[in-house]
Amino acid sequence: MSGLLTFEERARLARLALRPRRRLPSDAPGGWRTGRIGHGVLFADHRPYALGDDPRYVDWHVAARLGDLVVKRFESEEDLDLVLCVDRSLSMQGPKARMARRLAAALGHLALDHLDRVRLSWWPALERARGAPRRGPGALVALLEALDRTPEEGSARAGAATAELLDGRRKALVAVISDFHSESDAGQEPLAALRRLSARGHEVLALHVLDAHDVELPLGAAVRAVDAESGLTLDLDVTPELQQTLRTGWSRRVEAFARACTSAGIAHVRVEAGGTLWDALRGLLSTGRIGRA
Amino acid sequence: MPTPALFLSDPRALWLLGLAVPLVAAHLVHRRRVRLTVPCLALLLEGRGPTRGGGLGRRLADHAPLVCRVLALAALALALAGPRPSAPPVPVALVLVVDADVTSAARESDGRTRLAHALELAAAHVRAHVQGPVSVVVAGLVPRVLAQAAADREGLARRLVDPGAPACEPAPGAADLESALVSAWALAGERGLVKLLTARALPASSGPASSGPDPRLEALGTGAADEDQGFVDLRVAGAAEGPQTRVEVSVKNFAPRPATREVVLRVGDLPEERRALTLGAGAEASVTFEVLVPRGGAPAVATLSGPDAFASNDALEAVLAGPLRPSLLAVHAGAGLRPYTQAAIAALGEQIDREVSGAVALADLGSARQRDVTLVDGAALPPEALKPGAWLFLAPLSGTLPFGVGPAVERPIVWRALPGHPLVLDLDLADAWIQRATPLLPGPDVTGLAFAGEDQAILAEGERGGVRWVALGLEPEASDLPMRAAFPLLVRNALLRLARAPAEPLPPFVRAGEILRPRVPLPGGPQARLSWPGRATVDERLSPEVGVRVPAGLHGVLEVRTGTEAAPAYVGRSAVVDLDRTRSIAPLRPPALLPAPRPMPGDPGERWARILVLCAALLLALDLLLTRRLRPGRAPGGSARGQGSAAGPAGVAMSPFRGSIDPWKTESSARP
Repeated sequence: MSGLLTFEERARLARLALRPRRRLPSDAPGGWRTGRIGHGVLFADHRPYALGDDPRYVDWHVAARLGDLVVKRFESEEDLDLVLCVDRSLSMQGPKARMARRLAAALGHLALDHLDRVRLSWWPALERARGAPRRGPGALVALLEALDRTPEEGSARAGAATAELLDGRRKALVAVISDFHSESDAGQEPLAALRRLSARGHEVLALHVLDAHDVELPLGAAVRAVDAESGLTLDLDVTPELQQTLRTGWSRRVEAFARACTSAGIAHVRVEAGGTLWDALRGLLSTGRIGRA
Repeated sequence: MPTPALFLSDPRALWLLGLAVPLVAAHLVHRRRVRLTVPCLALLLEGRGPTRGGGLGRRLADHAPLVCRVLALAALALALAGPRPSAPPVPVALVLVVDADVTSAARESDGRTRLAHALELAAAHVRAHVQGPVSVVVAGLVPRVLAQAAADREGLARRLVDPGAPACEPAPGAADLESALVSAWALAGERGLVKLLTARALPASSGPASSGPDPRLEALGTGAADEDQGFVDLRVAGAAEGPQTRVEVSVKNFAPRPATREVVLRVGDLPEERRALTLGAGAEASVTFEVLVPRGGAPAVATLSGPDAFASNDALEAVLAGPLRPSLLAVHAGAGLRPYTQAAIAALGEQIDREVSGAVALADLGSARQRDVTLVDGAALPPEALKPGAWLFLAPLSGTLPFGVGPAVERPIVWRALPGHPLVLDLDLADAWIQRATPLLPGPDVTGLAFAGEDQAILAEGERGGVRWVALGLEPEASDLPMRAAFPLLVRNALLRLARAPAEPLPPFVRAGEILRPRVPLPGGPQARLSWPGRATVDERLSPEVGVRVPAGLHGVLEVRTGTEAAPAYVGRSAVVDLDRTRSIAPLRPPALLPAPRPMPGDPGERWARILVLCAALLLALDLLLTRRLRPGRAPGGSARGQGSAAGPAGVAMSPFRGSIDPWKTESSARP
């Protein structure tokens, strides 16, 4: 078993479940109530019988008591697709990658525990064929192994990575776990990708993995900063003013990203790389995207 | 080739510039940039801000600490090398001439001497002269350079006014101001200044050349006291009549106002005598004392009673010799002294020592004590009676005599006498009526003094076999009145002449600057040991022909000895006096004010060195400031991460973040 989740964590995760806000129509019945009246097993209410109604849905007990024909209405239950988009670019090296993979494992555990389909999508994508959705508790082992073994490499291309999600007809709960760093456009590209996913009908969760050390430089040092993904360099003399400026800019950037997500209807959750898994899940709980099982 | 503005007194210190090499190396090592992998370079690019430059200014800013250190090192090296201006200001030497004349002992109104005032004034001028070195010449009996080109002004000033060890004392005599000025001009050089601190008049030749006064010479007054009366002359002589010694002193009032002083004379153990004198302004008067000096002589000290400002001329001293008062033994034939002989002896009065004089018959002459002079009153001496000594023979001349006599001459005429001889001094015997005379035969040891005919000396003197004698061949009996009146004078002159033998060779006093010559050859030979007052004993040759100049500025008693130390042949004394009628303490110029002390200007080289050291300190402070701005641990809540040491070299302060275009702003969020 992978070391991403311990048995105690899995036991605690069993008491939680995903709670997508959007209706995500599926072509397969499942365990998720859609809120849509139709075929299903979950009783919703009664209504007077109308011509053309299926006589199988007439509630004869009520008809015998009231003398009028009423039919039962049911809420349909559908299957849920969870797409875990995990940033494995070089900028995620370190605690951010660990936290991102543990969080993906936890979300995957929640979905697979409810017999939902889970699909793992890497940013950047792996060279081999895209991974097929997995279902059922048995798929958890494979998911955890994939999360544990896939190395960090390359540069995250949010647009390319989400392109395949835009093609499918099925709507999914897309959890994007990333630091949302981009090279040149100051974070515009990941935001645009999230917007496109949301516009496509997916329910998008932006799990923003943050590490304050990203902007911490050794004070007093003359630093040649090398971008982890692009290899570009920048010479800096680290002064207290510069440090303060970097911290402020980084905070403003995160805040601006969160505001942009919120305005786009995208749930944004701050995930501290140095925090615990439950801190991250607590953020998800506050958004209502997960709840008690 | 132009002269550089500066030169280095110790260029070896420039080797310190070699330390710049390790400084630069250390800077380069510390300035090596730490390669740090960051997750997103865009974040850092935002943090740099839009105005962050990276051109020449940035590179200069990067190396500013190194520049500060290298410049500080260069400044320190230059400071140690001792930069000196090539043409420093030419120092102006100051020579202070302090007049230490005897008049500088005058007491001023505050009780201090005039010399003390002069030294205080000199110390003030030493402290006030900042243009160059200071020399001090003390004008005493001989000039003395007290300090030559002294650079330690404060030390010299303290030395001048040190109450425990006075720099100089008033000279005992007149100071040689002219020689002191010559020395001063030699010390001053061509551009130096000379300040003469005196209350006296400038000497006739006071300039560096004999041309006259020089504008570089400044005379400064040192005192204001003028109340002075003092002795200006002394005369000692025998009294006109009698054995007394006449002491005459002259006193002058140097003050510009009348004064009354009292002259007190003390002679040995005799009671003192006083004479009061009232002197007008600048007047001079003499006081005469006649004293009977004891037989062995006595010192005489004349003083002016009461104080005045200048005490050096208020006392005089002279060594008075004992008077010539011979003892006399008169020898008669047995019937007593003849009347006119008795009268002549009576007329001698105090000129003979009557206490030990007397008369004796020829028969008792052998038992009589010998006196200074033996007078034979016409008696015929036996051969054994004639002993060495002084003898005065009165006619008739008979018996044993140290000379030969001829037959008696009746009524001789004294037609010739040796003029000026002490024996016939003041006597004219040409017209004398003489009844009878016994002429003395001429001989090699007979000196005729008055003659009645050729080779008929009726007055003669001579010496034979230790017998010094004077013979009066004329007989006053039956002579005329003038002859009778002259007889006592002849007896007196003969007595005094015979008794003069132990006459004092030294005068009662000698004046400073005069030549001391004994009046007669010194007993024991001319080689004498002179003990000047206050000085060491010197051996000098002293005779009536060869004298010794009396040094100036001496007061006291001179002792002259001949013979050996154990057995001196002669011991004589004489007083040394230094009198000057023109010596006055009345100042010719008012006392000069003390100049304010001035701090010594710093050495221009030291000033340069200080400036360089200050520059180095400022540069190091700037370097420290730049370094501290980049020192780790000052960031609020920050912690360094990444490879490399956090204690890196100083960096260049970066411009603060001024914001950039917010990439996350969307239209919806920007909408109000």
